Amino acid sequence: MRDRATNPRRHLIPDEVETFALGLPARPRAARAHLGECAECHREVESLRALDEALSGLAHPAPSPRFAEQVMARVSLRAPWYARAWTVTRERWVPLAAASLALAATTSLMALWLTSQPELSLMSLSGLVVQQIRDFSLQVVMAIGSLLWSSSVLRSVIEASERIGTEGAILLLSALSLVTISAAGAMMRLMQPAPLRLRNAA
Amino acid sequence: MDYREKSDPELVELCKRADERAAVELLRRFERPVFSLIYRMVRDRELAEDLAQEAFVRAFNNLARYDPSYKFSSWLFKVAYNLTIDHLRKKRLNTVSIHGSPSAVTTELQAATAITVESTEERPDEALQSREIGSEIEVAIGELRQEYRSAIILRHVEGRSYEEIAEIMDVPLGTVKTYIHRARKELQGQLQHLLE
Repeated sequence: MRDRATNPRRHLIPDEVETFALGLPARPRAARAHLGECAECHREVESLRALDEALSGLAHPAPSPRFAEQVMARVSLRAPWYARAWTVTRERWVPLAAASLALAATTSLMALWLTSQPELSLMSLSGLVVQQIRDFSLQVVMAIGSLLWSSSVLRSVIEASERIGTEGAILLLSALSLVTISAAGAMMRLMQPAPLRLRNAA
Repeated sequence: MDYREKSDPELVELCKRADERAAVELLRRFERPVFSLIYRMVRDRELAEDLAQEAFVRAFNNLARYDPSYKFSSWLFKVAYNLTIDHLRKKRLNTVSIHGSPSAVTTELQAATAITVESTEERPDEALQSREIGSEIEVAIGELRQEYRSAIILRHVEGRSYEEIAEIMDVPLGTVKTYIHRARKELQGQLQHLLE
């Protein structure tokens, strides 16, 4: 297709027809001059104008009145953590400020006390903490073990396992593993978001 | 705060900060255009409502993924369009009729799924004529190929630009122009008596 500059008699291309029919801003003078002379192009423009009027006049069907309510019942808008933190800070600044002051005061006191004890190096302090945690964990494990040993449930399980033998114990263990895996899978599914519900999609 | 005076980007920002009233305002603005597009694509009111609902839920629940350099309405239309196309592909509802969904096998089901043409005319005779013309146009639109139908609705009913339609339908600009040009030719042929 040759350019209008080299062929002023060429008919309007679809983009130009649309420009005139829809009254878009870019309407070159040469194309306008051609439109004034060419009955065929004029018909094209008028036909598209009429089609556009017919289509743009079509009504927008409305959904049911409860549409918005049903959508909002399924929407969970969540602000990012920093926005939520800012909102909480603005709304509860008094207790937050009090807690922050208390925290600052206690940590400062602890830091002061630590620096005033030259015999407590950082390494010996961390060793002390690890020792305390280990002792506490050991005590907890021993307490649970003695509780289970004293309970009749554990004794009956051990007795039953002695009676069913190694093969039975392996079978029981497999069954228990299956139950555990199924339970974990069910929990994972429960934590998933609601699936797409389409009444007619079945 | 008057939400009706806020722009779409402002409302989206408020939604991102979990402001439900902003979401309700966006819903109010776009429920009809989104529902209309889907309704004209599937020609089944109940299904269109389900799909439109799902489109809004997905859009609102995934606002974090929305790129503000695009218009929110284009993004919303894209979500709605993709959801509907996926559904149509699964159901193979490529040709539809104003007289009801092709999956409707009984007269009652056809009546339930037929598109309702509304009229804004106040005089009863004008309203009737307007409805009849509207019905003829809807029939003609319904007989177009799915791609042509979506493109022509987005262009002439929703007033979207070619670039926006290309973005919504995820096709090149040239393809959109071809779809619209062919759809116009088919409609002009079918509605010649109305357009003269």
